[in-house]
Amino acid sequence: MVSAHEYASLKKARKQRVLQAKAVLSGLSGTSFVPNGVTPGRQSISLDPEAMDTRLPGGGLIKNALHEVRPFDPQDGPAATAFLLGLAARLSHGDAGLIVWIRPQAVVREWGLPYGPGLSRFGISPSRILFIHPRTEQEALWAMEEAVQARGVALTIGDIEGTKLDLTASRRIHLTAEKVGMPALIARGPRGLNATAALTRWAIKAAPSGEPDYASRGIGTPRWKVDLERAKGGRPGSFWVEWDYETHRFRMAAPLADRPAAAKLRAANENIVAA
Amino acid sequence: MISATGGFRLTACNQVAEEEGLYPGQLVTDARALCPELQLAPAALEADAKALSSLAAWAARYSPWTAPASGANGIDGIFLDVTGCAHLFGGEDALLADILRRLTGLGFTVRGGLTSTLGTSWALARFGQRDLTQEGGVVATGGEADVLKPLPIRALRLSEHTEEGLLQVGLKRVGDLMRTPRAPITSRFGAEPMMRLDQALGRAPEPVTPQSTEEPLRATLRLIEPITQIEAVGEGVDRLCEEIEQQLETRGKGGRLVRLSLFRVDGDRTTLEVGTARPTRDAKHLARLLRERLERAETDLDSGFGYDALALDVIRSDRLLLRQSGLDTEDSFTNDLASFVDRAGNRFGWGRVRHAHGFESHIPERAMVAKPAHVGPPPLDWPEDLTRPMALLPCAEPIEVVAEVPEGPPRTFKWRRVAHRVARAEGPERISPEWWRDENSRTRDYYRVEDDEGRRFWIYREGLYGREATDPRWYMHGLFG
Repeated sequence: MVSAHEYASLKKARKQRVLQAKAVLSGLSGTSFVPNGVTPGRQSISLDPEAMDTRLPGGGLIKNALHEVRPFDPQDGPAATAFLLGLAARLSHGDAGLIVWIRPQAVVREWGLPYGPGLSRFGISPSRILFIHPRTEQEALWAMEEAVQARGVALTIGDIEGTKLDLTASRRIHLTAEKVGMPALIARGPRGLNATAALTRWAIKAAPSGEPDYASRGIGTPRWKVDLERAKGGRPGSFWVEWDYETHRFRMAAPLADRPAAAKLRAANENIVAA
Repeated sequence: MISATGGFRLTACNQVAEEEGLYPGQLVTDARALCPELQLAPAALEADAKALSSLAAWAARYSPWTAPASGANGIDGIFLDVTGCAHLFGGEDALLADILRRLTGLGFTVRGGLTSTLGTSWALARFGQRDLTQEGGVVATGGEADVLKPLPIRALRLSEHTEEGLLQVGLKRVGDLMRTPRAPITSRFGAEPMMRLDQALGRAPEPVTPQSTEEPLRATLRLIEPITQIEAVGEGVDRLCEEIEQQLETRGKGGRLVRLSLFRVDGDRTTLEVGTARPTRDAKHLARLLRERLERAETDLDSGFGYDALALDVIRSDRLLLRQSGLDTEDSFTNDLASFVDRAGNRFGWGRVRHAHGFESHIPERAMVAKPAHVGPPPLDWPEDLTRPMALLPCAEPIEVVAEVPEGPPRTFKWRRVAHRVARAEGPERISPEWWRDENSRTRDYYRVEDDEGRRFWIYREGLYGREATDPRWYMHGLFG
């Protein structure tokens, strides 16, 4: 008789042993074995060692791929954009080259124009961003496809909200990103729920900020509830994440971790497994 | 010498020849009779014209308005409009002396004249007294009539026919013509004599048409059979671009703005323009930009009975000395950034493809200026500012707010018909208007607010209660993540 918690950890250990055995066997037979979804030569970027990385194939966010972010509710648009900017900062860290941000006119009307002074907090230098504002979503898709394959572009961001981004179009973008070795990030709209070829898909919901440094009524570090909805070769999960302005990295929402309720939440995080 | 009516005629003579009594236009046989040791060479009129053209370009050091001057024997001099330039060279006398000195130094025999009209200057230079013109034939305004009077009628740049006619009538000198009433001359010889006289005396305008220092960059394609299909036009465009690439390469330039003209059989003309962020002469790149432009314009283009000529003009160009590196590097990129930017700029309009530049202003919407991509990326960065939002709404949107008066933070607000309760607020950050720019703008107090769901906004109250407005208004300006 084992408790649920022990059973889960036993299962995990067994899985690890199976993987090791497979690797050894393949080593003996001369074929290379690749864990599900990760091909050799792919670079993965660590997001946050505690929780998110463990859910992602390759132990981090794969750089040369297409990733998708969507808001949980229609009003969570800015939260999703902020999280996406954090991903962008991590993925383009250390690269020279332009960041191309494509935001069609309709999205500009809805959520505004990206504002230079407010972007540096994410660790992205605004002077390396090229802003493109096409009239229609179709044009935005064209621009995205072209930008991803341009030499000199370090990362492409597209606010492609609707269903114009279907499986075929997204697969094209993903394959191009894979080939050239540079990431592509797309922010969907709340109704953009169709299946795409993105490697990971995140749903973001706004969350109250953390404790401020000073005055008790101020606004602290931004936080979000982040759902990794889909990860090819990884495991979906839910996290409470905040962005650290100083190190330009994600962090698990620290204060919650200190409270007893938060401990239960963390355990729950570990146990949210697909199967 | 040149072959003309009646046999070979002289086109130009040097000083020694002129002293012997020879003159341009004289039959060679007569000339030989007068002077048996005459040495002749065939006239190379085209080479002369070209040389004078480049001399006119050289003379641009004195004034931007220079052009070769044509006279009875074709192009044989240079015109310069030195209005406003003389003081740079120490006065008009000094200017003329300088030009004559330098040209003599180059090996030419020169005569010059500087007056208020082209006509008088032309006459003075050719027919004026020799010592006057070689030392400086400057004539003040108003003195044209006196200068012209003793000169032969030929000094008026008339056609041969008119000149002969006037001589036959007995008008041998310009002074004679000036004394004759206008009407009979005009009715007998047409408008030319009087017009030339008026021009010389300054009564009629005659500006110098400056020659452009360069031949325009142009490639044309004339078709035997008119074409109507866009695809065929596209192929023509490919060929034109290759030709333009050659022309640009010989001049070491790259095109920035290129115009394609489509000429219809019935005379109609359509133009399409394409611009690039950096100078380029890559034929494939230009052809691709033009083809994309053609595709977008396809529905508006009406080829009528077909196009029978295409032309490509480079309207703006810049130096481009290095060879463009082709796409022959072994990597998996299919494009490079410059060509992507060009295609995006041409497809969406350059106003939609831009970089964010900083501007010295504490008014938030003025602190960032978006400039088109071809201006280049901004030189400086913004320092990290945690008080500024990630995105700014294109227009601040009015919101309904419940707050303490006079200057309390907002408690609840309604934006786009959704109510929000404020859980946390930071501020106010007071931003005063730029009174030197806009007298009617009012002070803004900005607040960063977070509602109870965790959504974060940047809102402001406009108008100081009591001082600027009795009822301050609230607006939503930006969004945090």
